[in-house]
Amino acid sequence: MAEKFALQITNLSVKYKVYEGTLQVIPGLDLFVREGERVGLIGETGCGKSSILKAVASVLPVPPAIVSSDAIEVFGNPIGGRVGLSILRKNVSMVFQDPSTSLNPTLKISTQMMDVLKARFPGKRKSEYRKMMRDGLEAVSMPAPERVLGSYPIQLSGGMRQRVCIAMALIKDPVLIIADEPTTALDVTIEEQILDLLDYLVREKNKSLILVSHALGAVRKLTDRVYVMYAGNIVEFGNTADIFSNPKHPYTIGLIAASPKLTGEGLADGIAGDIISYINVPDGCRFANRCPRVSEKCQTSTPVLENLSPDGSWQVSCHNHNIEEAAL
Amino acid sequence: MTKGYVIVLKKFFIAIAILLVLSFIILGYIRLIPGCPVRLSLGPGIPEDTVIRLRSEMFLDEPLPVQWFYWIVNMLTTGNMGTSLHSLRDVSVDIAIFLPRSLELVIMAAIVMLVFSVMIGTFSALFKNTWLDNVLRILAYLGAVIPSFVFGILFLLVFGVSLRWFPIGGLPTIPVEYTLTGMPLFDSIVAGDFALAGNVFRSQILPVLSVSVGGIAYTSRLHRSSVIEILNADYIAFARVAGVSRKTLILKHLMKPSFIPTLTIYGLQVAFLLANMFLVESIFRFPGFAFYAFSVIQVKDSYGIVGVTLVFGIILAIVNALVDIGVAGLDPRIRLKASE
Repeated sequence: MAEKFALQITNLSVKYKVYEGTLQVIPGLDLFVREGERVGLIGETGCGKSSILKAVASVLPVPPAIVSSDAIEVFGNPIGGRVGLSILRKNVSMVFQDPSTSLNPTLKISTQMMDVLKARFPGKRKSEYRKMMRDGLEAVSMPAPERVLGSYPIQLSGGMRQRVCIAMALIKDPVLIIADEPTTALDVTIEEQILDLLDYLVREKNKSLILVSHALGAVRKLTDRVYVMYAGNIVEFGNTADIFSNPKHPYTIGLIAASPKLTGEGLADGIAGDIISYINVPDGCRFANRCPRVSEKCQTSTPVLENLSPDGSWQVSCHNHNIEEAAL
Repeated sequence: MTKGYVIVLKKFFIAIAILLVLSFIILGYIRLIPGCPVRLSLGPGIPEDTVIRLRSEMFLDEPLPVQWFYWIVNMLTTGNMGTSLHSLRDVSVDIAIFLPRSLELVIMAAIVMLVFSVMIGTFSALFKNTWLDNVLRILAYLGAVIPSFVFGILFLLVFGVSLRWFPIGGLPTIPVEYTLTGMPLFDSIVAGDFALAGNVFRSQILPVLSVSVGGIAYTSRLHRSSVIEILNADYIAFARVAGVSRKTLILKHLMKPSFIPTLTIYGLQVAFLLANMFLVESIFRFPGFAFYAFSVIQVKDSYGIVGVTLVFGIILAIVNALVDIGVAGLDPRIRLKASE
């Protein structure tokens, strides 16, 4: 049985040309999302998560960014060129981090939603569009959708704006939703609501989802598989349950240990040091300068992803992943 | 929304107060210039008692506050703004004749400026740092540093004298029965005389172009940076991913927010148009308001000068008010704040 991929990225590279030189942010990355699958992407700020997502959504400002890849395919269709772009726009939606900047401040909500609908479903009557917009807002459990449609973004709260963004992302009936830290800018109570909503909508409508979040609990709850990124590389990926219960890469171990617990055991440890500079990246593992298991080999040879499970669904890129904790 | 009207009314009364103070200061300043205005305008051959009679009729022999007070009372009761020593008519009659001609030029120049600034600015921003942007950048710098009267002379030489496409100055005579607003092009079109309208338009093109070049240069550069800023905004990326078509994105989602800062500068540039009109009307021998202003200043015509100044003040106040209303209309953040 051939698997169907909602998104398949092969050897994606993203560089930024800046005054000081070229930033080699993503050296070469593979990632896939199956149809109906929910995938998490975790890693600290500055590791290139947003760069990947924006490169996929084709909204990275070029220049300064330089994007190249062997293939980025949405349901088997390459996204380059005019036709590819229209396939991408039809099938992929994105929810941004900060709802206070992702809606146009000068246009009414109805206008912004209408323009999405007009591009996706052209030639309908105004009343039909109106009904679709109302249904779209009701689907994200928005109270008083008519009033919201007549409002400007400034008249809505942060949570309501993010609901509007999700409604706008869903209204064109995409196959893949990319959520780039959708709750980072929101209150904790609203965060829970938005994540539950996203979870419900994706399950109910059988969408594929890429969720980027620093809330590891949310990633654990919402996703089937998870990719762990460090400094532009995938360092480990596999089923969410495996990764969270038995992380193999030293960075994953540190990342999971660093998330604060509610049980009151004091603050988590965190990982000492900073992400390496992306200019003139040295050979070897990019995590070597912070890694508790670092060995000589890590300084000279770049690790590649190796199978941890026979079917290749769980992979890790570390020279020393099988060293037992006790041997350290 | 009631608060919105209150703000407009408040602005209106402040403007009136400023204009009253302005008229007082101008009347005072004119007195500082040596020489008797009546003598200056009527010439040396007029008997002394005629001059004295005229001076007293025009309150020129009264102290400044008294003169100012009489002038105000006279204006409020009869609507007369004082007799012009230049034309020997009431100043308001002169304004009604000369102002519409210039106002039409200013309106045309404002439209030309708006259309070209927004177009050039948007194109430069969308094709940032390409050859097109660089060419437009050089043209904009040239346009900004070369004063409008140089353009006037250049256009006159090239299109008027050498190519003979346009008349080298003046304005065709408009028959009195056409007079409706006093604006020559508008009146001749309304009267249905399209041959005359064509001639009027041909004599207006060069003044309009030369007066608007500088404004286009400034405003288009500003609009460029404004568009670039909005292009990088999250909501443009979000709208793109959400699938808004490219045309709608540029004409609506990008245009509306990026025009807000541009509008403020554009308003200032429209006000500058009036000032630039002085030189351009002289070059093209255009019998407009600036031409009239020149004439009254030359003979130290007190009421003429005050009338001209007041008109400039009123136009500035109106332009400012329109810009404020325009910004509020474009930006719901300002509108909603004002009505809170």
